[in-house]
Amino acid sequence: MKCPRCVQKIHRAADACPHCGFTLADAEAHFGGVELNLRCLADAAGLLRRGERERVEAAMERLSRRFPQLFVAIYTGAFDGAAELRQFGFWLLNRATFAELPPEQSNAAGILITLDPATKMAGVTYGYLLDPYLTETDTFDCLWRAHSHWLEGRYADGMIKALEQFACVLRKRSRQARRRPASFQRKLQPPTHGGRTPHPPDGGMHPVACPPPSAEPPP
Amino acid sequence: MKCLTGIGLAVWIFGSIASARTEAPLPAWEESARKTQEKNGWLPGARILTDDAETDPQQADIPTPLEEIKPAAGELTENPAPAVAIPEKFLAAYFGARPENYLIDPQKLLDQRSTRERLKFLQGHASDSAIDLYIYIFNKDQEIPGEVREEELVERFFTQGRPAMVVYYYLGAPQQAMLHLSPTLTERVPAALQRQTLQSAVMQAMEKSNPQDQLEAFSVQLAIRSYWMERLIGGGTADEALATGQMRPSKPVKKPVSLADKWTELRPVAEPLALPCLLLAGTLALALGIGAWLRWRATYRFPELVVEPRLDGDHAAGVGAVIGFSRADLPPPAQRAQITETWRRN
Repeated sequence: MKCPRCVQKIHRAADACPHCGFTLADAEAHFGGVELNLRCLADAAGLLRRGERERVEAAMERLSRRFPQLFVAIYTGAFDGAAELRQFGFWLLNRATFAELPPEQSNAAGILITLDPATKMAGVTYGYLLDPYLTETDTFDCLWRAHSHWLEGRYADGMIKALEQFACVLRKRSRQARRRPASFQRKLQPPTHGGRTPHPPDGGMHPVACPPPSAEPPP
Repeated sequence: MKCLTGIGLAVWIFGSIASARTEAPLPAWEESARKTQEKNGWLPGARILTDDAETDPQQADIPTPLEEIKPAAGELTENPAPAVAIPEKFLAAYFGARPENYLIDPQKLLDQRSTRERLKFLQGHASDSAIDLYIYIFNKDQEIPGEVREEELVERFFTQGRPAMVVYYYLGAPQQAMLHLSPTLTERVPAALQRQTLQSAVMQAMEKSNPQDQLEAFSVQLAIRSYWMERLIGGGTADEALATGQMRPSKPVKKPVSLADKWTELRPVAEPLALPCLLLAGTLALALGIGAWLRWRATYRFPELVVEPRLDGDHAAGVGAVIGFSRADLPPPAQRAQITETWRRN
């Protein structure tokens, strides 16, 4: 579990990032505090044509059908670098309401893919339901599948490939969770040393200093 | 003045020419100087400045031609033995009538075993081939009487009946063998093919040393070559026969079997197995289809574990990977954004 801003490891129940002090309030200060109504496929950057949009929506629908608890959202827009892309994903998944979802469906079951064609970056954010099951490497594998398509500007194809890879990974994790639920529960147990963030293997000595919690978040 | 100068020049030129035409005497040694040089053992110019003709030592060293070596008596080729006439008592058996057997050997030049084998072979050939093969056996030094004309004999005896190849074979001298064809064959088989056939048989025979083996090789090759004549009779072309450099017939071409014929053959075996095989294949296809359909319809669920919220987020705080796709020359892992810009700026 990492902080969306400084990408440092954080405690699973941390109220704020112990390294940079980031919270949702910081993201709201940056992106706005209002509730946002969106479609699951929000192409703000205007990358998808009509036929492509339908194909991508069909792929999203397929994934939701196979994993009834989950939903997928895709947002394309303009961001100022990878840090802002991560923070935006974190903010959007916590603040947005997706039009196609039933009222009882929580955003905690969501997977959000954010894509910026200007800086040519894409990222993944996911809700608490998948917290024990997905790793950063899993999400990277999904983006890797899309990489060659996005390189050539075929955004719809890349999105579909990424969703197909998500389906593979989630199917595998679902089976593992059914066979060995304890291994995933163990990830959520509270830490044994007083609630402090465990030190990383290198003793917590980082080559650069963290910004103070009161510092302004990067733009 | 000029006239006098010209006359003087002309006199001088004529005088020079006249003096040049008279041969100058050879230089001669003074007696004392000659004796001194002779004491030293060598007199310069002694060979050149002499009128005596002297024999050239090099010429004296020329060896006399070797004596002609005549070949030994054993090395000389023997004169061909004078031909021996075929005893008269056998002439009728040879040339009196159309032979009853394929091997004609009234003189019993072949031993019994060879006779039996050759006869069996020739009979076998006659049963397989459309052309009979008759072999007359003579001794190698024997001669067919002058009054017997072989071609006329063949024409007379072999006009009726099956086409035949008639060979006059000299035991121990296959190269003397003669081949004649019955009139039905002569019309169709070109002389080149006849010559080729005989040559081929002789070559095969010459590879053997034993006269019996020679005859065997000869007759076998002749039987093989008769295949091409047989084809000519059957409508083949002479070019085709002559073009066969190997002088062996090709393998018989198998008649193509149609699918209907194959089915007719296999039907008794296939019919009892058809139903179980169809059932098995159908069951397998159905199982595969159902499996694929079930996989397509399968849904997956995750156990909903209690996760404590982080960073004040009510629904999500799971930060996944961020990837860049700006450069095609770098692999995706190299474009994975793992460090925030904040740290890069610091």
